Amino acid sequence: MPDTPDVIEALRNLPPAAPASPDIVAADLERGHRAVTARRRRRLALSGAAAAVITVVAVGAVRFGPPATSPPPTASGTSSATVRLTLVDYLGDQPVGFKVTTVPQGWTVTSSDPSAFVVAPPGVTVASPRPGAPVSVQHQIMVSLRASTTFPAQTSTEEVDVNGRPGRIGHPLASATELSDTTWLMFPDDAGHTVQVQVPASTNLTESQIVRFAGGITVTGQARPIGG
Amino acid sequence: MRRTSEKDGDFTEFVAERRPELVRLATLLVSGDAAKAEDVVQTALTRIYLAWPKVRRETATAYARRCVVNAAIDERRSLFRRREQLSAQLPDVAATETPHQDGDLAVALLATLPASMRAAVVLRYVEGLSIAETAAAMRCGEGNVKSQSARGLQKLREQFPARTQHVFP
Repeated sequence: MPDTPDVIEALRNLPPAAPASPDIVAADLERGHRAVTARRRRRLALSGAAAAVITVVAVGAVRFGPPATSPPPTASGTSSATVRLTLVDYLGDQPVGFKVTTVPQGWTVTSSDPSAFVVAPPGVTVASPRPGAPVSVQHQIMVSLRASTTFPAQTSTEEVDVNGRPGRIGHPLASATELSDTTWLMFPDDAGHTVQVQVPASTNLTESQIVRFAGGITVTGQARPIGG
Repeated sequence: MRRTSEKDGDFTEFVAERRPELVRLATLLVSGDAAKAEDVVQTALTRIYLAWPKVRRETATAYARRCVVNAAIDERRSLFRRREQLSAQLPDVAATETPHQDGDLAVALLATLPASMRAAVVLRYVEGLSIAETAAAMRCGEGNVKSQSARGLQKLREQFPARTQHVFP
């Protein structure tokens, strides 16, 4: 190979690129930040357009009929609300292990056990739930008491005040790399456990409404945390 | 998962340290066009930042090299559609008085190779990667690297003396 080493040698001997200045490095970082933001927006848009994923959780067996004094159903009380809901005082049967004072208008507690309860819009009932049997909480709000739980590391959360208790609001993961459009609000109870409020995007509740709803939840002595 | 501040700090440190060699690699892969090379490196670094939480520090350089190769090939494809025309003739390269005229000539000859062949030659012989490392960077089989780099080398070997004579009579 009489000539090739010269070609390669010539390529190897090309002058090196100039060192990267701090401005150039900062610009690279800024482009990275913009790309992360753009990807997040794309994913949220995609997840919002995708069919809702049914969240199935094991919620217990106490079934509630419609409360005698429950407010009349409203147009907003459909399973996929498109109209902003309003929060009202809750006058129906209380769940096991919790006390609820505020719910979206027309919504009722439909299922509960000492660890969790579900609040559903009018027309949604739980058909003959069995203890420990899975219950769909699609388009419904689920509240659970957890011994220990945290947001995924990928989630950026905001601090909120839940009746004087420090809460955090954010989103769980829909997959290993994507955030869900479901909202989680977590705050501590008096015993140091975590109350987790899970609100699907289809309820159309604002973050401040979720915080207000959470502020009306009290954990009673009958409650037992999941995983604790 | 690393936190954002930690992630940004690691990434900044990596870019400050490795950017010059990525620019050099990109320059060779895009046939010496400095502006195009800068585009390629910016694209690659953006992709690297997106993947940074999952990138292990010990493999970051290899991953960065792979991103540069992919971005260079993508760039070449898009530019090919917009601007480039195939020619059976080698491009004329003007003789320059710069001290790097051999290098300029070598880069011009490198530009006559197909993008993947060029990448194989650059990574294997100029960057000095092993066949396995080159295959990883190009995301292809080792057999492909062997054949591409050997054929590329042969073409350079055939062209370099003729071009030398043509440019520097």
